[in-house]
Amino acid sequence: MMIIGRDLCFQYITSKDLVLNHVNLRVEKGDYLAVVGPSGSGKSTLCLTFNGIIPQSIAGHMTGDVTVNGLSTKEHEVFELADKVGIVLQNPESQLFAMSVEEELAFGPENLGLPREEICMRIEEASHIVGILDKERFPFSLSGGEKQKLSIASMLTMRPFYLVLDEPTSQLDPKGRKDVYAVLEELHKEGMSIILIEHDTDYVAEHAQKVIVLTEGKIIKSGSPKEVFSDVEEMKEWGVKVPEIAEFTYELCKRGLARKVYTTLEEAEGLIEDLKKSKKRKKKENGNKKEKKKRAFEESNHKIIEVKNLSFIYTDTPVLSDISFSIQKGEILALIGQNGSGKTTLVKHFNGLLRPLQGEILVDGEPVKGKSVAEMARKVGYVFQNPEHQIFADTVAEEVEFGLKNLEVPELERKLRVTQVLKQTDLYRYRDTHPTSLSGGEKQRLAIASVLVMNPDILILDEPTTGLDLKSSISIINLVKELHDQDHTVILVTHDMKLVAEMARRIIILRQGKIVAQGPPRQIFSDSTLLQENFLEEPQITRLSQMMGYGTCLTVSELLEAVEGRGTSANGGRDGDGGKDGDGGRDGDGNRERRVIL
Amino acid sequence: MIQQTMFIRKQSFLHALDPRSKIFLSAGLFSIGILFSDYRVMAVLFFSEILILLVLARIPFSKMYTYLRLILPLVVMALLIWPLFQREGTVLWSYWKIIVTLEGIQMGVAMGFRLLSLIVATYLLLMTTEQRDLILALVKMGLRYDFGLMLGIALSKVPALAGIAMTIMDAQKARGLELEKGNIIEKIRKYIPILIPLIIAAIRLAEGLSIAIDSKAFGRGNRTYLRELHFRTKDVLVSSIVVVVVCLCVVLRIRGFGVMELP
Repeated sequence: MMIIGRDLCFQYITSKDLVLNHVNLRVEKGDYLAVVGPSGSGKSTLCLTFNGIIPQSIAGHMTGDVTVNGLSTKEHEVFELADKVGIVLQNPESQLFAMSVEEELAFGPENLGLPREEICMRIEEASHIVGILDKERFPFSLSGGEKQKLSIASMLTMRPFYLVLDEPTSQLDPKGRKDVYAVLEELHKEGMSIILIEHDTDYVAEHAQKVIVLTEGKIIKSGSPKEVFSDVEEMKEWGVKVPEIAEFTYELCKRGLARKVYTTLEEAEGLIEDLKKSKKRKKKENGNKKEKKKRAFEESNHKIIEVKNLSFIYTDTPVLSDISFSIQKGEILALIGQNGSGKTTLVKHFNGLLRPLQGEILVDGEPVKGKSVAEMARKVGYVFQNPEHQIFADTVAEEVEFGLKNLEVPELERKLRVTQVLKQTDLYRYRDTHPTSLSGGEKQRLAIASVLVMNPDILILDEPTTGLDLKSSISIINLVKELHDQDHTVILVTHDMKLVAEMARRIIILRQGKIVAQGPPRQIFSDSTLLQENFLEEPQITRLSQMMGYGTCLTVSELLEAVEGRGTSANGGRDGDGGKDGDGGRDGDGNRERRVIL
Repeated sequence: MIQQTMFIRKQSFLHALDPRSKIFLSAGLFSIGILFSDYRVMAVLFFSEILILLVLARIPFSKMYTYLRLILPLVVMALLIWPLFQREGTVLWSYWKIIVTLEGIQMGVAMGFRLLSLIVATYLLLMTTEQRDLILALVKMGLRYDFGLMLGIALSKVPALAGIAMTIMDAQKARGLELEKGNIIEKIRKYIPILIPLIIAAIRLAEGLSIAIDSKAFGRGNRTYLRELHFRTKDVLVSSIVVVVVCLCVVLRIRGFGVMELP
């Protein structure tokens, strides 16, 4: 009773190189196996070999062999393996196709030819496990988290031994992620074998029993999460993100302050002991007092966006109700909250994509009202979440030029701007390449470039790091930092709390169309009740610093500084509430330092 | 918000019928609409269909009107254009080269009502039958299951694709694209930046769907169905009435009843 892969190689008809390169693995019943690795390393391809989609349905060349409970996937059709291996993909939209929850759940067992009573029983059981009880609902109307849970349930009704999940939570909000993970843990407890592809190594380290690291189609490392993630240097080299606590303790080890690399928060007790032994340390409180002082002059700064009593109603449901706030020039603001809290609706008012039902928006002192979206595009750049939803041109350069053509900029100036922006976003070498051949991170940079080319003061980034691997995320973060240094105002709409902790000067939490809290990250992330109420979670390193009694540190480097006892001054500077004022001196240094550490 | 289905959940005689007899009923009404051409017969047909929806399906007129409204422009066009082409008969009004005859107006009215009654005949089916029952009925009537599945998937993915299309439009507008500007050719060209990402998204969706369908044991053979259709006594009754009425109509039509007489 196991899945065994022996010397597995695979190559798509369209690909030049091997996508899977002599992979050997074994998944036993009851295992919880995580597969990690950078984008393009073959993780998703590996997934599809477990239930025979590869080689049965997808064209390509496969050597070696995969057996599921003794059945070779080369000799058995996908439908013969379907009641052994269930598969859940990243995008819930592409796995749900029925008109009701019940039908969705019935599809598998119907195909298996089960009697009606059995199907009913399995539907009942599966819908209870995932907690979707209204079986008449149209799957499209469910939330993202519910859709993924339904996808899982639609596999459960076939009673598989193994459940393979390909980044099931990467498109979900924090609450959806939690719910889906909770279902997985429950299933694992009940004896289900789980194979999970996941970018979030914080989660993997705490829950998986085994991890394999895949790069360029090869398994370069496998073992317990502890064994794998302890090798921080090597993991980073391969472009695999390690849990923040591993990164932190690795740095401590280098400095002789800890004995070994820890990979989960549960082990933090041991870490605190380590630190006590190795060094008598002075407790340093973080600069909360300083922040308050600094906030005062932030408000005197130039307001680039002012929102006054904004309300918006969408088919009878209020989406935004009476929102007022302002954004300072040069600020990095993070808008966070669950899906449906009104974040996207709010920012769509900034460039006129939506018009307020009540209230007013001023951009740079002028009302948005009466201006077309195209006019606003010169001031407010809006980069949408999925770059694939806007890429259409034949070359990267043409793609970037599109906005300028729309704004009727003369050709000479267009070429100049395009070249400049391509260089800035590190895409110049791809200028004549077809955009679809770019990697995920490069596509994201292209999307940013094609908005940046219009030279807007304000840049709205909707989930800029979603689905990106370590190296791509870093390149996006560094790009945003650079833009911020050039005095752009940046508005981040995101669920990625690490990104928020790393970048934002101020956070606004939205819930049901209202602002429930706003303040600098340190203040927001130290309020655990507030976070819990809004189903948000502080970054792992912040939790650790609170557990260790170092207050609310936002990044690994900050906590390191705090531990080493030279923390306070640098920490204060990190927040740099003054926006513009902090940029020249210490804050700039801080940025450079963080770049190195990442 | 795009509605995925016209189905309106109610407890009624029509809702409880087997979808196959409802398909039969719709087809019957449809053929009556085509058989006759007299404006009075068309009006009677249309109003009786509305009556069936109101009484037997308990669907309020306001709900019907939401969908009827969509074809009203066509009806108005029929009313306006037919009289222009029917130039012979009792002249009611003439100006320059335009002649309006009584027959022309009757023809327009007949065509208007015919259009309405044909549409309402299909509404009758769609508003009282869930899509999955409809597809199941078609499969039971001999449609291949994979065709039925394909039809169902296509219908269920309409809102998702519409949502993606809206997002793409917003994303391109944010890059300065102005869809309203320019002449017709320019306007069509402006849809290229929307169509290309939409087609790519649809292909991605289809790739995922094919994996999902395969992974759920599609094609294993000997498929069972959770839902069962029951052809009960009342279905036999309704179907027989439909047969009798349609036969009667054919006879009447052969005898020359209900045909518009043109000079």
